Amino acid sequence: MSKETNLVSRREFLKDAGLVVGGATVGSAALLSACKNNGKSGSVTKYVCPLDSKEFDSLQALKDHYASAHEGVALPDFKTLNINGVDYSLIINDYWSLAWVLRETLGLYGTKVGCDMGQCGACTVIVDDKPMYACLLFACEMEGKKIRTVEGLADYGNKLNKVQQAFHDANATQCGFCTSGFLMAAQALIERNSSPSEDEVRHALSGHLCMCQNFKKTIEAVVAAGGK
Amino acid sequence: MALPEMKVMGLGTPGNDKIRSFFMDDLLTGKPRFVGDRHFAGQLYAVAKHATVDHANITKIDASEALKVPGVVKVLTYDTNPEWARTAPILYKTVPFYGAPIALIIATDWYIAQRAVNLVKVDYEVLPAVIKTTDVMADDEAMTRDTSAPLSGRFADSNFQSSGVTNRGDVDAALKSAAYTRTISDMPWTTRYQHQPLEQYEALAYWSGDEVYVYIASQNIHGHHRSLHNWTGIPLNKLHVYSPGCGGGLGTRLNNPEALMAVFASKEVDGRPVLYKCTKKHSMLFGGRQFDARSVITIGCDKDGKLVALDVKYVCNGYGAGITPIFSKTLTIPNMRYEGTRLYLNDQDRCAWRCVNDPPTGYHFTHALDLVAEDLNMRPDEIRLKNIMGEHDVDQDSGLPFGTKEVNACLDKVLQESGFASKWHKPGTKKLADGRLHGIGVHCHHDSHGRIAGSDRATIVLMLQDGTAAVLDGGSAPHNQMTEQAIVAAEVLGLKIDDVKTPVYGNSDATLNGGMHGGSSFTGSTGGATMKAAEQCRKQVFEAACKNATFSAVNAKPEDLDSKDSVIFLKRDPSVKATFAAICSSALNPIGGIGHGWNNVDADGTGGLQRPKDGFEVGHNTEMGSACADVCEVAVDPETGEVEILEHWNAVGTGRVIYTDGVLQQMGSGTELQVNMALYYGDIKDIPTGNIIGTQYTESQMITTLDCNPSRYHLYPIEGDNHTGPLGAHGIGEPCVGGYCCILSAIYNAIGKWVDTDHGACNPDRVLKALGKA
Repeated sequence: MSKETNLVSRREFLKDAGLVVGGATVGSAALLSACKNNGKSGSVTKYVCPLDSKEFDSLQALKDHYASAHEGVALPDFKTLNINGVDYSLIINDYWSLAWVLRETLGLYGTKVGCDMGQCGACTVIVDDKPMYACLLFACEMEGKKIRTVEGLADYGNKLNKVQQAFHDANATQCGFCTSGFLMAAQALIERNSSPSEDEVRHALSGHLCMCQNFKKTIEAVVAAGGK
Repeated sequence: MALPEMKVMGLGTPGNDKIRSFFMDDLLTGKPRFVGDRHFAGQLYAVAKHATVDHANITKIDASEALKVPGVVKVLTYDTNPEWARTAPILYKTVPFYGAPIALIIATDWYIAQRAVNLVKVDYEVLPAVIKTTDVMADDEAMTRDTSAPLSGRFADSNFQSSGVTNRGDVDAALKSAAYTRTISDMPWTTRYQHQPLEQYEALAYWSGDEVYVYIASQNIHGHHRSLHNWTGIPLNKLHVYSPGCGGGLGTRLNNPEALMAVFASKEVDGRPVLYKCTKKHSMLFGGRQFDARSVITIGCDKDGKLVALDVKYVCNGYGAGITPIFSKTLTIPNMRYEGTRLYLNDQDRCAWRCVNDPPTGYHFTHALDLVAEDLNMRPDEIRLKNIMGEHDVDQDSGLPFGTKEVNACLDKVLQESGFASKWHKPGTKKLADGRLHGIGVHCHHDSHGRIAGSDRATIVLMLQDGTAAVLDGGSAPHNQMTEQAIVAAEVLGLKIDDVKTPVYGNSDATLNGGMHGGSSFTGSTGGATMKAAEQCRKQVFEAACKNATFSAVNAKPEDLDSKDSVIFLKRDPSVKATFAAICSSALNPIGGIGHGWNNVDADGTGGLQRPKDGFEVGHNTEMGSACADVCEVAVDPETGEVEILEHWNAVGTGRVIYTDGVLQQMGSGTELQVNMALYYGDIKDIPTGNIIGTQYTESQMITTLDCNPSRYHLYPIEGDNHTGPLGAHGIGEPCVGGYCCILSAIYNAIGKWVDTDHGACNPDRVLKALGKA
């Protein structure tokens, strides 16, 4: 049987271990390299070729493989992304979206991809305090930005934050696939307007689709989170 | 009706409204892993190339350029299909509809696969295509064809999928002698509605030797297990199917070809894990179409508006249900004839709207009744009240009792709450102070959702040593429906809801068949299984309790005991008590039960009475379903055509409510859907063929929070005691579909014209056209 590799959150693992883990451990077809956890560099365990998922113990070995197996294809550069307050140094293919890197490289699957073309809002993350569609952002252009995902709203196992608790109280999820996106948009709204009106909430959430059409309870939740 | 007191279930039970989906807090913290969130070592990604013609033979597929893209591992086509896949709906040789999958590209990441799709070249031999239902209807021979002949399937020569005739009484004689008759033949085609779950269609599979592991978003996990076995011949014990969650079911997750595609793809790459994932564009092409429908209706009444006869000719494409249930299970009509036809077209036939059955047919029903009422100088509510079936009426064709018949109570509720009788006016005669036209409409019907079907369904309930219960059934995720099952178990066992868990779900290896989750049959059928399993556990717990010192000291017998809030107590002296934890931790034998689904189930899905009703004995077959009624008040701007919903009242017959907030969610979201369908929805069409080619949410003009005014929706669950369902419950399904019909009726009341909804919503352009201003 194949080993499923991300049953435990990778973010959680990385946070605890302070290490970088590559494809052999996480099974990612992506290439993940040296990680800095709050400024402390971790050590690399594996390098994985993003094109064929072959694993190597050193960067040089990967480079050699790349040169021979994928002649003419340039090895991408290292980029450092700040996700939920943690710096990750990654090798990112230039065509990868931020949503792809969050999910497939870092294992932050709380960010969902519904349409992958900037229409449904399920992939919304907060970039420098603004809600943005992660499916439309190139990950390689995210250096220097502070990115927050749904996993960063409350620590695992701990108390829900104000917006999450309001969603709970209002029963504002149905199938839940859109929930992360709505939460991030709501969080960004509450941070810039601590007590939004219903109309302001409806405008702030209008870039999101809920195909279960659970808008009523979502709007109620965000208004309640602001206390109006 | 007075309902018996419950411990956990029901609208009136304290605390029931605080129960939340068991999935809730995980969802709020980003923890749940849907199919696309799974990742295995060495995983590959597959994307399909989809046909760009409506009907054609594929003469050549050239994948050479695609195979040169770094990261592309393999390209599969019909010619590489394994033998077992040749009859399965995966990669087509003959294109049956625009968007059909014809090649599969497997690559190391999803973007590479998508890029390579564009490099696959396809040559077609284009064949004549039938896209419009009207093209078939215009063919007299087709419309008069002998409808009793069996059809051989999707790609047979005939465009007929099925057809049928039902007769009750003597329609011709009744129409001849009726004081009033009217034939309505200019009924507009109703909206074809596209509704897609947000989670893309996808499946993940890998092989380990001759064993196959499959992850799919499923509304019928054991059904998928069986159908994959039937398609591929893989033994059931070597086929492991998991459904870790479902990002929107909406009836689209019942028969997923994606699973077959992933199994096929993985096999072709030596068993490596493959995630087959539709792009949203392809998801929209591949499925998610509501059918369109048209009918010709002749109604006969006496001079007071009492219906004496109904004659209906009805045609639709795809899976559309007939109009019969709407009329025949809602109104008393002594003479009725129905001729219905379903057609296959070179068009997607996978309907995915929430409630695929009723909005178009419901609209025809509303339209016809409103016109007849107007002719007879009656209000729309009056003709309904005069003809609506009563709570104790039996089905007019089968003579069977209904588990519950709530349509009358629903209609009464919305009429009363809205003040309909005092607000209604003759069409096109009332202006608001701001110059807009005022309108109000009503709709009610009994629909086929909420049935109880599937005696093969089963649930396991185990008591753990800490006194908590574990519910194990074949549901796909602890969404509302699994939460319902936990509530049923808590009710029967007398446990606090927090002491019931659903630790295993969506797992063909470790659960019994929980049945299909679409159409609300899960609530009644699997709920019955859960109830029986919990009853077995309760019996064993009480037997164990009688051996415990607390109860043995008073010589208690199991029948002397009761339980509530996770405490077992002596009925005659509640101060003699013990916790479930105390009893279960000291029990000598494991405590568990396996409950079977409801028996006495007919092939057509009707259930058997579990309690006597109106003289019918336990076990007697019943007609099932649920009911709704809506009133909507609108304002229409005659200059711009804009429609504003001022207030909307929706009442739904729920049976015994299991999970209060789940019911309110379903009703609220159903009402919003109706607003979307009535006022906003649009499509992009290919002009020459008439085919719908829109592939984006924006093109379909899906509703957002800006279009939604929750404070204007008034929701009324009408509880009833269903004599067939577990503890009086039945599914509520999508009974809010009356909203669409009601809104269109209200617009008619405002402007005095029926808006032509030919495959579209009542948008401003159409309203202006109806007003002669376009």
